[in-house]
Amino acid sequence: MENWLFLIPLMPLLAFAFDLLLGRRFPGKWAHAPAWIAMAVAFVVSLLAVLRVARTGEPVSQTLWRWMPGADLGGFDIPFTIFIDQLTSVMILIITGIGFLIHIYSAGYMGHDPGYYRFFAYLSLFVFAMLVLVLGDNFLVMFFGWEGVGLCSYLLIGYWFDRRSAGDAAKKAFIVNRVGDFGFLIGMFLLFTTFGTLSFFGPEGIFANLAGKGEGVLTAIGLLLFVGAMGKSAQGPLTVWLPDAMEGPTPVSALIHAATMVTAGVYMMVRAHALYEAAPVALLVVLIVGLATCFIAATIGLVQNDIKRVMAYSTVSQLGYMVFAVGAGAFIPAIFHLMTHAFFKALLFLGAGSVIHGMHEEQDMRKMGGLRRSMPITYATLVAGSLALAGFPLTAGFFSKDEILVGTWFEGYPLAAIVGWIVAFMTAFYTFRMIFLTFHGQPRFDPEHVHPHESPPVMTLPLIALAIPSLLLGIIVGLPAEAGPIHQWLGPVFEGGGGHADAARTMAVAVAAAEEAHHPPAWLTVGGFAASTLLSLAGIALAWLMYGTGRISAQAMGRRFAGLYALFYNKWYLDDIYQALIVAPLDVLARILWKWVDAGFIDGIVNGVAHLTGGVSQQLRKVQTGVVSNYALAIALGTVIIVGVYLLLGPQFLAR
Amino acid sequence: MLSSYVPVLVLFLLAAGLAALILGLAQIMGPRGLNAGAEDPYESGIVPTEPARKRFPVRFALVAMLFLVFDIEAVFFYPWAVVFKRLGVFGLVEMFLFIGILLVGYIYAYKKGALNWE
Amino acid sequence: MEIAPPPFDLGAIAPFLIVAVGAMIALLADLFIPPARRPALGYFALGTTLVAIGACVWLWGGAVPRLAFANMIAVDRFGLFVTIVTLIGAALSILLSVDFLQEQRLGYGEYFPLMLFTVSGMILLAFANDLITFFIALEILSLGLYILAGSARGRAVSQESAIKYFLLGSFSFGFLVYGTSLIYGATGTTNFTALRVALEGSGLTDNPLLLAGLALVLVGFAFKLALAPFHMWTPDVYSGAPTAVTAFMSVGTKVATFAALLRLVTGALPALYADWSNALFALAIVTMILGNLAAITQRNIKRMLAYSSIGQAGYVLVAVVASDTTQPGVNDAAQSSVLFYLLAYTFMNLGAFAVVVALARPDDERLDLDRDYAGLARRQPLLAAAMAVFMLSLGGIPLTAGFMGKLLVFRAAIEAGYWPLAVVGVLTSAVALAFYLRVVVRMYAGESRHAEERPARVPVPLAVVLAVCLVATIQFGILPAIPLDAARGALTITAP
Repeated sequence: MENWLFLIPLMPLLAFAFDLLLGRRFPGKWAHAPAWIAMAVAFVVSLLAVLRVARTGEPVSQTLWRWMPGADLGGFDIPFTIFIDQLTSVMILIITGIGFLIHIYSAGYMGHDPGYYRFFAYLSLFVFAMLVLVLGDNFLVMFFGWEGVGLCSYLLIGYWFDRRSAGDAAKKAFIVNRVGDFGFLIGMFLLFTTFGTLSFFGPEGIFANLAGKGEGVLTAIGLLLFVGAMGKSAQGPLTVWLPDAMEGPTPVSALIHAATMVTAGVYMMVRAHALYEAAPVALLVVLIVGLATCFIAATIGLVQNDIKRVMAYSTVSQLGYMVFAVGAGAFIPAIFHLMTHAFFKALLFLGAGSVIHGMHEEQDMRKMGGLRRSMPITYATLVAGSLALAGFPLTAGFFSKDEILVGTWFEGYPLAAIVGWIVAFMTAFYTFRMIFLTFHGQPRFDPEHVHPHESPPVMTLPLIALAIPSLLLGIIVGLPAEAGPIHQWLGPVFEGGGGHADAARTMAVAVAAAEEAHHPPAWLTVGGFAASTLLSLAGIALAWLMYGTGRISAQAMGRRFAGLYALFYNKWYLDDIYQALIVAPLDVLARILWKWVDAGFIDGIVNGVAHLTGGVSQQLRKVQTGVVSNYALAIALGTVIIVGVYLLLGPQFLAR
Repeated sequence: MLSSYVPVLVLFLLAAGLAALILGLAQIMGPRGLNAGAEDPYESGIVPTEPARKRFPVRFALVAMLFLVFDIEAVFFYPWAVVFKRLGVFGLVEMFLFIGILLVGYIYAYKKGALNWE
Repeated sequence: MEIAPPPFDLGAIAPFLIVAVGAMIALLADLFIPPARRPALGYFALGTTLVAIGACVWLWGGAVPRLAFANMIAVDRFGLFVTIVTLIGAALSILLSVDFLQEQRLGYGEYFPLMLFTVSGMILLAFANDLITFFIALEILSLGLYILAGSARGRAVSQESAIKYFLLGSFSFGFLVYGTSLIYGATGTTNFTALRVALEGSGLTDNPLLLAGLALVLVGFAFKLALAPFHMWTPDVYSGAPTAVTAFMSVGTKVATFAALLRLVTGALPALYADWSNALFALAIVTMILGNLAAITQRNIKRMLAYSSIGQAGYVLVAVVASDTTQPGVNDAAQSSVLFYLLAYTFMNLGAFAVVVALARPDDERLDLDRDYAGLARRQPLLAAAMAVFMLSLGGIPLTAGFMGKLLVFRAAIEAGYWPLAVVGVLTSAVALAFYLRVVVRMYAGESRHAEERPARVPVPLAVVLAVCLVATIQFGILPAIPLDAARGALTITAP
């Protein structure tokens, strides 16, 4: 049964190879076919594996090969093992399921692009890397996927490489991610020197051997890994690349920069939750950074005019929710939100793509308006997604967000929960600002030149398929609150610290008791529901008043809070601060290094060495006369030296 | 340890010394007058009819090499014949194998025309 | 008195027998089939090597290790591993030759039978457990190579190469035989197993006769392995011989001879570790420096590869030096790295020569780096990419077999305490990159001089060789587990 788990990552890889090598020669535009098939197979296999996990309650795994077992490199033995437990199950279903829908959608969206096959090749490669990231059972394999998704993200953001802005955005994403990866890498080094292994599980694994390790080093590891997570999940100071990443094609934004890759950081921290629980200081930092990101991104989202940028900032903000939930120790709500967010944010991006497609590549919401009549399906599905994002009662986003906030409060951070509710209000507001600006009111475009039209079924069907879980997923897996199916499903991952095999047994009774007590009191649950409902409705209502009816003038508001407006509109001047503090000094430093150190000093040394070796080599050529007797003389002389040294100096003439 | 090699060293020195002595004496005592006859390989023998370094046909070398191979075969037969009885069947089989391998060489040489003089 | 003949254990030498009999059959068949059908002999030879590989695999799982023929042959996994590597090298070289000989109008002659005879010598070398067996094996191997080197009868350089190889080879084997006789004089035996027993705990280790004998035997090895300063024949012979022959002798000879060296010094002479390790230490340093430095100025690709092979032998020697049997852990690491390096070297070096073969034209062998390799990437992108991989691997760039080999070798040296070897190794590797990368740069940056002509067609056998070498070079770099496991399992040098 476990022998075919390798198909899950292999299928997208094959599709990649196939499209890259042969895609150009495909008759017509069939490059999407292998990618579709690969995704479908990967999804089915994933589903079977998950069903198996569900039936037995045990993880499934398959070791494909071991890397350098005989090399004897200080115990550096990396098994390439596919490992699927309940947490991985959630991730692979999201990746292959939503990935499949987005592959279908892309066939419509990218239909007119000359690099069609290249797009599908990259997209399949991305899915492969992302699957490797979540399927690996050690940090190195995870890092392999981690780098792979970074590469694909770079390739796809810069997919339209003839646009300068796309190239710049790709570079920015790559470089900012390098900063995070660097932290991740050092964290891995530190893990290896501390534990002597990079494996998660097993008696030799990291999570089973946390006891007795210094809290200092665990905190350092936790923080360094979090630096990596900040890069991938666009948190804290490393936020800046994600909004620019919207230069890529919209399906890319939906798959990579909303549903999957950006959640890698959250996944990693939840996977390593045992480590983080042993390092409370690191967790506190995670909480603060997540909360700040959540708040700041929401404020910026309030004033953006580009439809995709609104979504980008809302993604950053929602990721902030997940990260601070992790920081508060509310791991299951974080994964719950990750799941619901994957559905509704993918839906929103695809819907936005549909709008952009129908508006002939127009992205500015100020030039839209009144589109609901010409794009009814897009409108309906986008409203569904927006309701979920805004946390409208009984939608998926409502339950998951509510669980995060209640969980955070319950874990002892009521202040963070209150900030979260404020952000929830802002989220509801900017989401429906987008809806009203885009679909309601009078058209603000030139009807002579732009003829908005509904997208073909190949694009609208995935929208519908995503709208259903966006609305209903919460009711299915989230009720009753704090104890729904999602909790029962993910519960085993967190029992006994995710790998404390023997510790688990001794603590089993205590855990069972704690489980009973580990539910928020009823007043908190009900109060949380009430607060979430009220704030969500209030946000939507405010948006209606300002943009739906125009009863409150948006311009007037902007003028009254001119300072705040400028701050938000300029993204808290983050890019400018980086320009002044990092980019400009680095530029100067680079010039110095190039002109003086590199061109002068290092090149001098290198050229000197080259001249020296070249010169010696020239001299050596003269020895090679081509005359046999000279060669024989060399042999004889060599013999005389060896024999002579033996006989005259005795053995051990060279010290070891 | 090295002292056991003193006789060898003495012998070596004696040989070298004797050679040096004879050559030196010849140098000192021999007559100097050179004529055409003195340059010949055999000063008082048959007069050479052509230069010694003349090239001769490669056929000779071929025959010489083939002769060597089969000569060694014959040499190998002698000790084998002496102990033939004591070796028993094993010896017989071995020798047939040996001859068989040589036969392959013989067939090869024959087919290649190495045995044809013209 | 009955003479008890030694047990007639033909199964133990099955790979040798298969190849030797195959060679004789090929020799006879060569006489009777029409010249147009001669390529069939190549495929027959290929089949022979494959059957021999099968025999090795069979022996690997069977009753090994064992001694045979009055302890003159030791059949163990070490020998089998080396034999398999040699046979793989031979099989690839045969595939390389089939079209090359026709293309270059060299005539088949006794080419394939000679190749098989040579291979049989290599196999015997890998199993030799006696200085006499060793010498005979070396002679079988060398005689074949002398003739193969001169097999391009119409070309003066080929003749010159054969004569030089023959003269210097005979010269240095004289030392080898003399050394053997001195060792016999000192210990009364030439058998490896008996030597080890005789030397253990005896006062013989300071015997000057023995030491002189060891030194002379090492000279013989050094010649065959082309270790500086006994390397001077290599560039002339390698560049003069037909490229396919050069490819064959650059890998097969080295692999088998290194195996014999390792068997001699660690299987028979561990008591003299201090002596031979010091001599090889010095040879390794000189070889690494000279080989890599001299390669820099070469413009002929075959001469460059000849010097490169000298440098590569220096790296293998580093691991041989570290094979100290008194430290089992270190010894295992060192010997397995020798085996791994030889395997990796076989594929990457043969691959590089395969590209050279692929570029050769009937009128012009296309050997000049500046003239013929410039701009190759534009005309023949696949060949250029393959060559780039082989160059990077020989240069020791990560994710290639060559990198793993160097990593293991240097690590073994450091563990054994020979950090100067590792330092010199790393420094010379950096120097070596200069000439390996220059080939890559020429191919990808230069302007082609042959832009107007049609790219050379790569025949199927050659394409197979390239593909195998390419896959192996990359696979052993990324996933070295399989060959490493095999090498680890092959560390039992029989010395009961």
